[in-house]
Parts: sequence; C-alpha cells; structure tokens
Amino acid sequence: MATITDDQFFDPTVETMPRAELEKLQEARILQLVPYVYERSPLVRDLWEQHGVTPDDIKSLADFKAKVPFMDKDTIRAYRDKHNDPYGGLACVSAPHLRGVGFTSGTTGDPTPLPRPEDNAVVNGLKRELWQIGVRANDKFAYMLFSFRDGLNADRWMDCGMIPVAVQHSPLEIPYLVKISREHRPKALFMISTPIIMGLDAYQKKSGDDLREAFSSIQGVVFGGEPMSPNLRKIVEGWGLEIFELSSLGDLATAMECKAHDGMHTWEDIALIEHLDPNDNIEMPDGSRGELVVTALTDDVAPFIRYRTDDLISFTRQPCTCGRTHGRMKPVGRKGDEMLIGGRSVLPIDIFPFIGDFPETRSGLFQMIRPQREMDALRLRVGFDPDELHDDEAALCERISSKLQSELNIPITVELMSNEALLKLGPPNKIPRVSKS
Amino acid sequence: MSQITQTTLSPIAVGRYLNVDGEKTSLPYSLMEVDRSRRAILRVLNTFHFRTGANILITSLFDEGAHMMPFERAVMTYGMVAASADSTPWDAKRVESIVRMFALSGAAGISGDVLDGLAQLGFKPEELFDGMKVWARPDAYERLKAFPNLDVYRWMEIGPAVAVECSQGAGAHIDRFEWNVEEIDGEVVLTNRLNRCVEFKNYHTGLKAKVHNGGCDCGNPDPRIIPA
Repeated sequence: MATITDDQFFDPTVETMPRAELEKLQEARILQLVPYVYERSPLVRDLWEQHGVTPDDIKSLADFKAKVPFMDKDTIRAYRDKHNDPYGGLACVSAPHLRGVGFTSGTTGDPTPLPRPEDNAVVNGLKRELWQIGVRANDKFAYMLFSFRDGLNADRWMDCGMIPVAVQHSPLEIPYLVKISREHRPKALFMISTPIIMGLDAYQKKSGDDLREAFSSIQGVVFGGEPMSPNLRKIVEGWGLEIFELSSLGDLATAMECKAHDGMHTWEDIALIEHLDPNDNIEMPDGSRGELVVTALTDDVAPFIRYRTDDLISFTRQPCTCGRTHGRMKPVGRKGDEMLIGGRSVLPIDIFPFIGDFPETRSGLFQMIRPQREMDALRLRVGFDPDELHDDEAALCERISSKLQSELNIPITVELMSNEALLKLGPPNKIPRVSKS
Repeated sequence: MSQITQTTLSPIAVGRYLNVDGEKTSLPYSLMEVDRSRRAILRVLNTFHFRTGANILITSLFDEGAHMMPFERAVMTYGMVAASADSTPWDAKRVESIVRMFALSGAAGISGDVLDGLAQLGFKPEELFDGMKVWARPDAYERLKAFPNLDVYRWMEIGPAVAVECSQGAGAHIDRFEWNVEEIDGEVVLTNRLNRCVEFKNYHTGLKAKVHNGGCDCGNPDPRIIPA
C-alpha cells in the first residue's frame, strides 16, 4: 500500500483509480445517497414528487442519470422564498450535525447559503492539488482564500500535515505576504487573483523589492476565479512561479490543473460529473463543450443533486499524462453570460486573450454590457491605468476597438473606466465580467 | 533523568497577532492551543444559556484563525450554527443578508469596519442587531453601546490572546489557565502558563486596561479585562 511519503500522489488509490472502479464507487455512493436525500431534503422530496420519481426507481447509476430531475440556482431560490427556508430546502440535517453556513460570493445577488458539515470536501480535493505541486507534511503554504465567508478551516489540513500560513486576500496585505514568504518559506501560494497580481506588480515597482527572491521557495501558485489573461501570466511567471489555474466545481468542490496543464482535474469520487447539452439531458461527446452538472457524493448535510451549474465547460475523461484518471475540464464561461452579437456567440473568455495588449489595460479588467442576450454590437467597459495613458482616452478606445474587432470580427464599442473605479463595481477581488448595464 | 524533558507543540497553522505597534506578526498555533481556548470561551458562552440549534453570526478575517477559531468551534460545540461573513466594510451586504435570512441569537466580532459598511448601505445597526447578543470589537463597542436597545458585549484581541465578555457585561474574560495576566502601570502584561508554539513571557500588550481578578457574578473566575 502506498504511504504518505510516496512522492507523486497524495491519495494514489483514488487519484489513479481505473474508470470502471471509479464508476462502481460513484454508484455505491449514489445508491446510499438517493434514499437519504429523499427522506431528509425537503427540496429533493418536493422536486422528485413533482416528477413522479421515488428511490425505488433508482437501482443504478444509469437510472439516476436517466430519471432524477435537475435542480438549479432558481429552483433553490424559489424554494427558499416560498418556504422561508434560508437553506432552500437543501439541508438534510440540523445542528449539531450542521456545523456552520458558508456562502457563495454574491456576485449576482443575495449570497446563497452553503451549509457546512464537519468534513470539508473542498479542502479534501485541495490536499491532492497542493501535494502534486510539491507541498508535503510539515511544509507550509501561503493560504489566501478570497474571504472568511466559509468559516475557519485551517485545522482541516491536519491529516495531510501541511501547514497553512493565513494571509488576508487583499492588495493592502502585499507587504505582509512578502514578509511571511521570506519568514516561513512556503512551498505554494494558494491563491492569487487579478487584484493581488496588480498589487504585487505595483509593490515591486514602487519598493524595488525582488519578488523572485522573496518567492523562491514557492513551487506553484494557484490562480482562480476567472480566466487568466496572457499579460498577467507573464507578470507572475516573471517572479519565477509556475501557475496552476483553478475553478469552482459548482460550489461543492474545486477543479485544478496539474503539472501537465491540460485541463483541470475534477474529483469524481467527490462529485458526480455530468457533461450535458445545455438545454437537454443528453451527454455531450468527450472533448466537446457542454454544461457542467454536479451531484455531491460525500456531503451528507446539504448535497446538490443533479445541480445544473450554468457553467459551460469542455470536458474529457481521457486519462491525464500525469497518471490521474479523473475527468478534466476547461471552463468556457457561464451559460447566462453568453451574448449573440450579430448571431455570433461571445463569452468573456473570448475577450481575455486580447484585452491586456495595451500598456494602459495590462490589468485585463473589463465588463461585457449585456442588457439582453442578442445585440447588434458588443458594448465593453474596459479598465485602464491613467498613469500609463500615452495619448488620450478617445485614442485608447479606438485602439482597443480596432484590435478586438479585427480579432473577433464583430462590431464593438468601448467605454473606459479607471481600474480603481471598475474594481469597486463588484465584491472585493472579483468583478462581474458581465453586467446588465 | 527522563529522556523526554520537554515537548514542542507542532503548529497546525500560522495566524497572526497585532504587536504593540499594531503591526501584523505571524503566530504559529497548535490544535491544543485552539482547543484550550475553545474551552475557555465555552465558560463564557455558558452564561448566556443559548439553545442548541441557535444561529450565531461570526464576522472575522481569514487570517484571524488563532483568535477566532476557538470562538467558532465553541459555538459549534454548543450545537449552534456559525454563519460567516468578513469583518470588512465591503462584506456588510452579506452581514445584512445573513441577519435577514437567519433567526440570529448572536453576532460576534462586529468591527468598526462592519458598522461603516452597513452605514454606507443605509442599514441601521440598532435595527439589524436588535434582539440578539452582540460581541463587538473595541472600535465598535462604544458605538453600539450608544443604542440602549442593543445587548452589547466585548470581544477583544489582546496580543496573542483573546478575551470575551460574559452575560454580566463586567469585563472580558481571559483564560486563567492559559495566561498569567498582570496589570503593570495600567498595561495588560501576559505570560503563557502552558506550552505554546510561540512563548510569550512578560509580554507587554500595549493595552491600557484594568484587570479584575476574583469571581464574576456569572460564576466564571477567569480574570476580566476592562479597557481604560
């Protein structure tokens, strides 16, 4: 049996499990979950009764995929509002089994409560990810979650021996991050965002501090929350850091790149992943784009069951060259963010590669204005650094629109806003890339 | 002679404390320290006679694990549910949303930043926090105390230690088993009595306060701190 000192994988039994065994494990967990949630989750009971489904109808994984109805954010919110239940009918237990409540970011409205069990599925997946970066027992890593809104979980790392060094995720904390990097020599930095990179870049320019030296113990840095623009990537790589991109797996876990950098590993023992036609219950072909639909396999407090995430991904179950067997995804965007400009599909991911091409817009900040799905021209709000402006705003607008129009072949109008003002439009460290107005 | 003369505590994490100049200083801490502090905070929570299943809002920052995790775990030990939000101005919307969605019995770690954020959004603390126990940080305590309808108590970071006020509202209790607490020239000075990841001997916290020893009317003999 593998031991915790084995090098490549934190949990080799699970991470490299052959597909047939993995599906057997999923089926066992699903068949335990089905009667449990039907008995305990008011939303599941309500939804399944509306569709005439009972646990007796589900005898296999195939039955589950064919018969169990979907839920989505709107279903949960509707149940919450109708029944005055903050958990939206998802909670299967009450305190003390229910320990706490975390929340989604609230980018698009009231934050959605995420009831928390004693165990933490997100951290369980992240242990595997930090291990593959190179963090081992007794090693430290800089721990910069976006917020405290999921509660305190530093003790959840105990069973892998990794030691989180907590740093507040804020550009104001940059000097402290640099200080603890020299003091504690972390092996990884989890995680950074666009505002943190901009803050580090500005700190380096202003102070003359050598970030390559300060971060020399770090074997990998995790970037998440949105796609990374080529310019930000260049800045981070300039500090000698290998970047691993991370995305949410429908708020129940995360998915992250390995050293092969060919898609983010979804943990299919933690979440049942379905990759479906965005408008139907049809499995999309391997490697194609589809909607991510998840079922929580290890959460007995408030599991999502066939939750349509609204996230469009390309997805493959081909084993990775790193040796792991779980499916890999590449986020494309949110279904609800898609715009049709003159009939052509446009998502924020189409803008990211080009938006930072000018010195004034290196931060890569922008918003697509989406009053409705179909428009004749794309309206873009673009963040810029006034200190870098070398002609005038009208000329910068012209340069940006010409570049994007030639790359995307659609009509575009650009309005400028300073980076500072644009960052204030959303929750901290995250701006909505699509806005109604 | 015994081969084992001293053991060293392994940290589970590194938090931070504010040194006497108010600067962040990293603070490795162990699970034993968290658990001892949790027990001390339970002695305080016990004086409020909360009911299992009650909801408590905890506002904190991600790097405050060494100080706030014991409070969060004490809430959970009590069988209550901890709902979390950042203690920053820009997370005030979440605070309001939690107050609106959940029937709260208490709110802990409320800071001046939280109050500023609520004010910017047009929310009134005297309405939001009405009917619950509120543990306020020093920069929010007097502001909330000004509202006679609110039930306000102290939540204080004192260097590496934490102090929490009981139902009697007669000073914030600090764990007497963990810390030797002295008042020297009106300043709180701490010395750890048990093994910790980081030792603090005669540590001058910079906090000007009265230290009250002896029993409190709540029945908890832990010393009480009342800021000057």
